[in-house]
Parts: sequence; C-alpha cells; structure tokens
Amino acid sequence: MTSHDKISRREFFARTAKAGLSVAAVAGAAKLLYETDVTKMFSTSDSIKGLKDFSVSPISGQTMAVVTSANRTASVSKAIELLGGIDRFVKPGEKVLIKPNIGFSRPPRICATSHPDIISEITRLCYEHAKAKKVYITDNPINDPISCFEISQIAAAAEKSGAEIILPKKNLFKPVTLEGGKLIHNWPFLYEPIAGVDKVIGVAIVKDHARSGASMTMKNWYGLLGGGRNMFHTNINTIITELATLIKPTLVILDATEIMVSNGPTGGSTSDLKRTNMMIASCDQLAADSFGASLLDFKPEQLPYLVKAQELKIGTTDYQSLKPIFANMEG
Amino acid sequence: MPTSRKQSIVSFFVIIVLISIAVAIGIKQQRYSTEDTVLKTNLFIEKLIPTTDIENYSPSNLYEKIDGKADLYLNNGFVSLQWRRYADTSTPDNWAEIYLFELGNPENAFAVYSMQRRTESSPLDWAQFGYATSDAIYAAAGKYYIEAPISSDDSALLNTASAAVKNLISSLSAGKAEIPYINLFPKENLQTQTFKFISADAFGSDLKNVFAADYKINEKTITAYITKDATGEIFDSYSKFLTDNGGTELKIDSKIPQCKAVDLFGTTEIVFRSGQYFAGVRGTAPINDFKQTAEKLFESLSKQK
Repeated sequence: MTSHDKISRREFFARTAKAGLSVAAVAGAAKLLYETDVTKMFSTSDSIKGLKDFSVSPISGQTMAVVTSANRTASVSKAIELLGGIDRFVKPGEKVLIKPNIGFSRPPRICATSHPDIISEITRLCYEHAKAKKVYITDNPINDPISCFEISQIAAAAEKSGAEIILPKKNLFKPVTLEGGKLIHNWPFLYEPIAGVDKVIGVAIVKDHARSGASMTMKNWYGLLGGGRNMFHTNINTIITELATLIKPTLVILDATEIMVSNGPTGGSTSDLKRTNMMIASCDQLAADSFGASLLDFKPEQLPYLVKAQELKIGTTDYQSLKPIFANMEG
Repeated sequence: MPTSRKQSIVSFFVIIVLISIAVAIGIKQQRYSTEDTVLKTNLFIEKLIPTTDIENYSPSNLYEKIDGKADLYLNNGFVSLQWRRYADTSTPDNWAEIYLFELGNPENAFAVYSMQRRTESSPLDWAQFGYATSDAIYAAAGKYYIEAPISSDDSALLNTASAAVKNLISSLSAGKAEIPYINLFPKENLQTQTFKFISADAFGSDLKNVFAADYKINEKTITAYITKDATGEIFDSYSKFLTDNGGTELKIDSKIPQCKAVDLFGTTEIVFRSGQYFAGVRGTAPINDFKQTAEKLFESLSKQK
C-alpha cells in the first residue's frame, strides 16, 4: 500500500460501518424472505391435481392371491403368477416404479422394511417376463435415505437386478392436491418418479404401528410425502385413506412371511416378529390390508382407516368376496 | 508506527469481545449434560468403533428417527435421544447401535421400558431393569432408557453390546430407580418380568399412571393393576366406564368392602379401593382365581396405610 492509497481513520470507520450495515441488510432481508413452511412456497396454481390411474383392468377371480411359503422369492413369484402373471400388469417397453417401505435404516431381518428378495424378484419378472424398459425404486425414508437404502439391502437388490434407485432429492417433489381431500392440499409429494412411469407396484410388510394400529400397503404410500409430514400423525387414518385414494396402483404386494406383531413400526428385535409364511398379491389394496390386519388379530372395523377406505370405495374389506386364490408351496 | 489512543481502545474492545465469546462457549460447554458426551467415549472398549456421528433428537424432531413410535416417548416426558452406530473394524457387517433416551425421571424411563418389553427375552443379571433378546439389549437406568440392537444373532456380539450398555449406565451414573409400586404386588404367582407402567389410556379407558403385572394361576393369566386414587373419583369413573361399555355387574361374595365385579364380553374385572389406591384384576380365568388375586392385592395395599 502506498502513501497515496492510505485512508484516514475516519474513512476506515465509515467504510466499516457501511460494510456492516450492508451485511446486516442482506441478513435481515434473508431472514424476512426465508420460509420455514415449505408448502407456502408453492402457489395453489402450481399444485398438481391428482395422479394418473395406474391400475389394470379387473379380471374376476384374479384380484387377490395368497401364497404360503417361507421363501419370499418363490412366494411373490407364485402370487403374481396366480393373478395372471407379470405380463398382465406390465407391458413390453413400459417403465415401472416399485415403491417399497424403506422408512428406517434397519436390516432386513428386523422386517421393519420391505425385503430385498421381493424387490429383486419383481424387478427380474418385470425385465425378463414383461420386457419392461426400466424399473425404478423410490421412497422418501424417515431416516437418512442413503443409509436406509443400504442397510435395508434394497440398494444391493436393485444393483443386482438392474433396477435404478431414485433418491428423494428436493427437485423431485412437487405440490400435489387431492381433489376433495382434507389433508393432501398443495402438499410436497415425491412426484417426478411416479409421473414418469407407466405402472406402480407397492411392496409393503405387515407391521404393528403405534399410531394407526397396523402399517401395510395403504400406509406404505406415506413414504411419498415430503415436507413436515409428521403433522399428519394426529390424522393418521385420514391421511392413509387420502393417499390410498390418490394412488391407484397397478399391483400391491404385502409380505407376511414374518410380521411385526409388537413395537412397530420400528421394531428393533426379531422378538417382535411372528412367522406366518404368507405373501399376498392384490389389485385391491384395501382387500390386501384387510387380510393383513387379520394376521395381526384385527377385524377391519378395528382399524378406522380400513373402514374409511371402504366408505370411499377404494376397495373392499370383505376380501373373501373377491374369491382370493390360495396356494400352499410348503407341500 | 506508534499506536494512537483510539487504536488502543478499539484493540482493547476487540479483545474483550473475543474473551466474552470464549467465556460464553465455555459456559455453554459446561451446560452440556453427561449424555451429550457419553457416546463420544469408547463404550465398546475397542471391540467396535464409531462409524457414524452422534445424532441428536429433541421432542420437535424425534419422529425423524422413529416416526410412529415417537408418541410413546413424547407421552412419557421425552427430553432427548442420542444415537450412534458402532462397527467391528475387521468385519463391518458386525455392528451395534446405541439409542440413549432421556425421559426426565425414572418413572417415565420405566414406562417406555416396560411398555415395549419383549416376551422372548432373558433378564440382565447386572441391571436393575434390563433384558436381552437374541439380537438386542434393552435397559432402563434412572431417567434413561437404552436400546442396543445388533446386526445379527451373534452371541459374542450380543455380549459385547451388553458390556457396552453396562459401561454406558455406569458412565451416566444413573443410579437405582425407586419404583415403590413394584413392592405392592403380592409375590405369589407373580410374573415379575411383566411389570408395566402405563402412563395413559390404560385398558382402552382414561386410566392414567397405572402399574400392572400379570399373575399366572393354573395356566391362566390375570392382570393386576394399581393406581393412586385419593378421592375415590377414579374408582367411580372406571366402574362407570366398564358398565357404559357393555359390562354387566356380577354378584360376588368378597372380603373386600368396596369392590365391584364386572363381566365385559367374557372378560372378568374386579375393581376396588384400598386407602389411597384404586386397584383391580382383569382377564379370563375362573371367578375364584380372580377373587383370590384381588383379595391378596387388597391385603397388600391395606398394609400400606
């Protein structure tokens, strides 16, 4: 610095004060503009009204199948076969989204998450039998997504079978509104993965749930919500039925090979599990859940979201009326 | 260049500010409770090392870790949760996790411990309240509730986790929890591992702060329970709850002066008062077994007066 560049002490303080004021102004403006409620960032006009219908044409007597087996790979394959085979649900060149429940970073043996063997097998069926163009897997877990996908071994299953995992990045969420809904209104939803596919397959497990009584295929869609979704816990029955109204899946798989009978939805020990050796495939998510509820010793009327779903004609709680196909692979 | 008086004042002011910041940081560090730092220590004595940072959860974000399970803790005075995963350096697939819940007081810690108790388990001989399943250790110590799930059914790994939880409880200086209600239950036929503290909505009713335990009599289970009822209000309201919900009153000959027996869709329940307590027995068993269990509980409570 030359003597020419020198500034007076007065000028130094003046410049420092101006710089300080500038920083304070920017920080103040940022504070004013910062919106903690993400839903307010979306204008109502941006909101997507509903989702497309992913279901397939019903075939009488081929709506629900229940297969008894301890082997998940074999039972899920058989259950789908009994409903007409994967090519009834997925056509050549189609893109498929599998939505497992990967809410927690728990290993498969705890059965708090969908089992990787089921994901691998459905992916294989989609590619090898249905000649699907691409199979994607997504979920918005409660715990850290990468850790959840890895520890649940869904990441390894996807890699092995050629499915692509879509992590729940911010830019994939869009505000979605369920017309006539009370809760899903302009709410951040993991929309992009579902918008880009032709078919949606939900893969859930039968679990005890502290809030809703049971977590099965309909509750599984909760994993597509973003934002501060825990606020829905006080309206858990309504949010489950609204999600089941919003999402009309191609097929749901309900794994009841080992069911979590206590301390759900997280569990934590194999002591929370009971082996029932069943796999349910269903075009009617309500029927699948009603059957799953019976394994947890619930009647449909004991789970309010099943009753609400029946009233909304999402499906039927009277799964016997669908004449489910039962098969036993254990001899 | 010699310093001016103004420069000296500004420099002095800056130093004062820096010292104040340092002091504030020091005070803040002092305020960290034991559980903020205990997971930083080597709980697993070099058998397993931390593979994650410590995750901290408060009442506002507990759901981010345990979702639907959060209510159980939030309804029982939840203060904080610290979580960390540890793994074997040579075999990373062998891991253990520590969940350290602070619940504010021993009753709350015992409530969440007892309400999640797994039936297929064995007690930990070194813990006041603790048990092991094939793949996890669970314990309540003072105001803390601890879970340590492991990656498999490996017994060596389970022993390592058990030692770590013991080490953790010792580091926390949690002390012994006084749960005086436990001593009110008669010992004969008592299934001690079934002790449960139900903080709210007990038996589908408005009953709160209920202590319950099971008795096994001739292969039938009878649940006995106790709560404080200084005014008799709870006895009246719970009796009304039973009859309002379809219960029919049974006539029984009992030594208990103020008692009521109700049949509720095949389940029998006898409720009574003894001093400052409201108590009852419930389940499906022969009526004489109910009467005897109720009378023994009444006698035990009577001695507390």
